[in-house]
Amino acid sequence: MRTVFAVALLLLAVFYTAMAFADFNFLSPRGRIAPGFFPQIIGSLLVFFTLSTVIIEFRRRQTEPGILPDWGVTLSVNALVGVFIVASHFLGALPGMIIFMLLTLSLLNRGKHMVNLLLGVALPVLMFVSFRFWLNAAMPPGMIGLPY
Amino acid sequence: MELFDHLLLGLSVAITPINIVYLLAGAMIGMIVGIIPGFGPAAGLSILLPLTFGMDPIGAIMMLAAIYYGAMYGGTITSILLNTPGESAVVASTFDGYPLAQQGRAGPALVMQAVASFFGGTVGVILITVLAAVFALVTRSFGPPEFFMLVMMGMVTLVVLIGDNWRYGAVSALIGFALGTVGVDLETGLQRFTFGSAELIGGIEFIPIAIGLFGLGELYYAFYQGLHRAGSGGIIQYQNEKEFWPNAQDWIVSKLALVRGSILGFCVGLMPGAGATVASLMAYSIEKSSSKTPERFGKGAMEGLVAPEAANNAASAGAMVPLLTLGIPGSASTAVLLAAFVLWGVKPGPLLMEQNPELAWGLVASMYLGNMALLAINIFAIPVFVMMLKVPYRLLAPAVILVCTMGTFSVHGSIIEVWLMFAAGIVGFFMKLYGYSPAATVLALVLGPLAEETLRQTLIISRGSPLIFVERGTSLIILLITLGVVAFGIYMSHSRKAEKMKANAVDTSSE
Repeated sequence: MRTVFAVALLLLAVFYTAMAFADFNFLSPRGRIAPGFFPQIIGSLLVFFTLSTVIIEFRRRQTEPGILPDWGVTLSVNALVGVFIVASHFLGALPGMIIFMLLTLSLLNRGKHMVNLLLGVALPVLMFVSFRFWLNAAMPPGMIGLPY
Repeated sequence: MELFDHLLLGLSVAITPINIVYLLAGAMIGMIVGIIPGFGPAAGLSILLPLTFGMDPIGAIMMLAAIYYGAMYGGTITSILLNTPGESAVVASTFDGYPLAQQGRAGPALVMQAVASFFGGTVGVILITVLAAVFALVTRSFGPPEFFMLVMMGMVTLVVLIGDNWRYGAVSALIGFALGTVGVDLETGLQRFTFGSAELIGGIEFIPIAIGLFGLGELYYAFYQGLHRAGSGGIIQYQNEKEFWPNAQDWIVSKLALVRGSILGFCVGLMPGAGATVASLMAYSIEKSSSKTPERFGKGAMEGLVAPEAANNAASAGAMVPLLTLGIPGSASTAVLLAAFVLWGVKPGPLLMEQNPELAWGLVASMYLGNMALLAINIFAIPVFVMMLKVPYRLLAPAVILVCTMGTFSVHGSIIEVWLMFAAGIVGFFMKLYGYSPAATVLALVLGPLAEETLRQTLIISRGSPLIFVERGTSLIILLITLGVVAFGIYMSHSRKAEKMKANAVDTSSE
C-alpha cells in the first residue's frame, strides 16, 4: 500500500506538472515572472521527489507498520462520512447527523442499542441547537425542505 | 514604563467577564482536545475555529489562543498516564513521564508537568512582552527578499528537523505549495488549476484542508490502529494516588531544568518551522547530557519530564512572535491561528502592535491569565481528565466527525468545501500512516502564496537577479541560518542512522 500511495502521488504530480508546462508561461514576453513560474518549479521538484520515493519504495519493499490494522472499520467509517455528507446535502443537517450517528454507532458500538439510540439522536439535536441558535452558524438546509 | 502601559492596556481589554469566560472555556476545551489521542493543538484549532464565528473578535482570538496552549498542556496527560503522546511535541514527555506513572508516581508527575508547563508558558509570555515590540521594530525594515527567505527557512526547518524521512517532508511541503497555486494569479488575473470551477477561483481554502488532514486523518488512523475496539480505561496508570504532591527532592532536581527548558524552548520557538517538537526533544537531550546521573533518564527522572514540558510550552509562546510581528506562522497550529486572524480582519505584521494595540496586547495579557488558569485546571481537575480518558473512543469519534463536518460547512456554507475536507481526510490518513507530514502540507498551503508574491516582488526589485538574496545583509543572515539548520539536520540524521546500526549490531551479537 505504501508503494501504491507513492505511485498515486507521482501520478498526481505528473498531471500537475504537465498542466503547469502546457497552460502557463514561465516568463512573460518582458522577461518578468509569469503565472507558470512557481507551478513549474514546484511541479518539477514534486515529480523529482515523488519519483525518487517510488523508486526507493520499490527497491525497499518495506513491510507495513507493525500493528494489527483494522481496514474494515477504517474504510466503513470513511464510507459513512461520505453517506453523511450526501444525506446532509439532500435531507439537511439534522437528519444527516442522526443517520450518520445511528449507522456509525451500530458499527462501532455493537449490541448497545439503547445507548446508540440515545446518543444517536441526542447528540445531533444538541449540536443542531447549539450551531443554529447559539453560534448562529450555517448548516446544510437540505434540498427537499424538511419542516425544521 | 511603556511596557507596563501596554500590559495594562492588554489587561483592561482581556479582563472583562465575557472574555474571561471565553478564556476559561478555551483553556478547558484545549485541555480536552489535548488528551484525545492523536489530537494536538492544530487539529483542535482547525476543528473549533468555525465555532468562534458568532463571537466578538478579541474574545474569539483569546479563546483560540487558549485552546492552542491548553492543548499543549493537555497532551502531556496521556503521555504520562497512557504512554500515548497526544502529538509529536509531547513525545519527549513519555520518556520519563510514563516510567514515573508505572512507579506509582503519576500524581507528582502530573503536578510537576503542570508546573513546568506553567513556568515555560509564563517565561515565554514575559519574553514576548519584552521582545515582541523590539522584533516588530526590527522587522519593519524587512522587504520581500527577507520575507521570502523567512518562509523558505520555516519550510526547510520543518522538513529537515521534523520526522524521520526528509524526502517525505519535502513531498508533503511541495503538495501544500502546489495546492497554494490553485486560483487566480494575482498579477495577471489568469486562472490556474481551477478546471472551470467558480468555487476554486479564490483558491483552495485552508480550513477544510486543515480539518481534513488533522481531524479526519487522525480519526481514520486511530480506527486503523483499532483504538475503537477497547476503552482506554484498562491501561491508565492512575489509581487512587496516596502520594499526589511532589516531594522536596522533585523540586530540587527540577529547578534548573525548568529554567534551561524554558529559555531554550522560547529561542527554538522563535525560529519559523522549528516549533515545540524540536524544542522538547532538544531540551530532553541537553538535560540528559548535562546530568551527573544520565542513567536515571528513561527510568523516571523528574527533570527528564520537566525540561521538555517547560520547553514545549515556551516554544508555543515563542512561535507567537513571528506570527504577531511578521505574519509568518512557524507551525501548523500558528497557521490556523493566522487563518483566524485573517477571518477576523486582523493582519498580523510589523505594524500590528501599533495599529491594533488592543488586540495584540489583549492577546498577550490573556496568555498570562490563561497560563494561571491552566495551572489550576491542570492540578485540580486531574481526576476529571482521568475520567474523560475512560470515555471509549468508539463513542467519542463519531461526535468529533460531526463537529469536523458541520464546522467545515459553517465557514462558507459550501458543500464543495465539505467534500474537500473529506478528500483531505483520506490523504491525511495515508500521510500519517506512511510517515509523511500533514503539518508541512498545511504550513506550505498558507505560506505558498506569500512565497510566490515575495519572490516575484524580489525579482522585480533586483531586475531578475537572484543575487539580491546574498547582497542584502538580513537576507544573507537568514540564508546562513537556513544552511546551518540543513547542516544540523544532516548531522542529526547521520547520527540517528549510526545509533540504529549500532543497536542492530548489538542485537545481532546478543542473539
